[in-house]
Amino acid sequence: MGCNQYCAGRFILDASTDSPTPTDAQRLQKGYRYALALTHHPADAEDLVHEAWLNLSRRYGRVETNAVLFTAVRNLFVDQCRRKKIVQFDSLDEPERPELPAAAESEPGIQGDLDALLAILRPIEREALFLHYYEGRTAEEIGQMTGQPRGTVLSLLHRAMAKLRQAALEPGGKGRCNQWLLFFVCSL
Amino acid sequence: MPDFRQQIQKHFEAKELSAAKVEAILAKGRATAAAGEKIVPLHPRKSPGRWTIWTVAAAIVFLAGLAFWWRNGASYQEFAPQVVAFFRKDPELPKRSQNPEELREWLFAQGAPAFEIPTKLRGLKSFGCQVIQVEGKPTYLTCFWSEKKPGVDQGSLVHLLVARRSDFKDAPPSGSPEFRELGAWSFASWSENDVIYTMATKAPLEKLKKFVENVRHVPGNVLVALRPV
Repeated sequence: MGCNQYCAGRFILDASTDSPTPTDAQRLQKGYRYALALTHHPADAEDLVHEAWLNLSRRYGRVETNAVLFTAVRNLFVDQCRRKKIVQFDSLDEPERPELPAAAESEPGIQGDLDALLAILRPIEREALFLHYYEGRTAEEIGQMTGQPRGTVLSLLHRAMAKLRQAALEPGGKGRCNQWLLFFVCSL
Repeated sequence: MPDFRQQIQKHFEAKELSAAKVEAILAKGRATAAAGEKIVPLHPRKSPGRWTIWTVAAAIVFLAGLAFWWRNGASYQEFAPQVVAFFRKDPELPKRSQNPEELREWLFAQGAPAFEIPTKLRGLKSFGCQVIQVEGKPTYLTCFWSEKKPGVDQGSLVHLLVARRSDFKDAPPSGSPEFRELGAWSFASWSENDVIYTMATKAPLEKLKKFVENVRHVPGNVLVALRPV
């Protein structure tokens, strides 16, 4: 599995799921955060959302919805991955996990270290976390957006959380967690 | 206690493009939108088969024309029957002279190609000449008296027929004469440059061959006797 898993993605959710008519600036900021979730690199994310915005403006005259912008950003990211031949071979052949929201509510609070922790995740995992925890999409919706089965999305989310937990437990690891994190990790 | 969702939201909310960058991107976007997509109109694609169709059609027309010409074009083989038919009745010879050169000039005046009287015939007295149409193409006839051999024969007429090679779809070989018999007549045909020559006489073929060979006695190359000096 690698970047190919992004290629069929289409944000088919209708515009009603977007918050009430954001301004172009707000939309651009959202696109930037989504790009950041994919790249985890501010400069790359900036370039990505910039190019996507210009492409959409050139083609359609304006950027109508967040969904359109996300799709453009995602497709550009996929293209870049292919160009750079970035391929990841992590398997998703795990049994399907139960619904996420209940578990998500009990996730440990991570202060200040989240950026470092997110760096250990694959783009597809960061994307799932972003869409679920930031955008508030369900696994079903994320699956529709990214062209993946709902079970795969759930697996991605669980795996991402597992990686974060493990990183938080590692002494001197990438995730230098605070007291709260250690407390919740021990209690899991 | 902040939950994970809040942490994620807080994390991403903190990430944003600078106002200047946002304004720059939006301005560029507006400019790009105003310019519109640069669509390069494609030239209407010519069907690759069009040329092929025209080529095939042209080839068909050409071949049909060639076949038509071939089927309907005159052959030098028609000379023999035409000569026979011409002499079947009393031949009409509009120009009569015993000087072959005079006849030749007359034929040139009628449009004859630049031909030479073969060496063999130059020493003979001429009788007359005429233009004969073969399949609508002009051929130019000159009649000569062959030598009289006392006690052997009383002499006879030898005819020379010339025509433009380009008027006929085929031509006799140019290396050596092609002999042919038709009824009581014998013929020897050959080509020289753009002229078809046919020598005809109302005599057996062997006699014509001897007649051709007797002049210079060049065995195996009777054409030498026929070629002009």
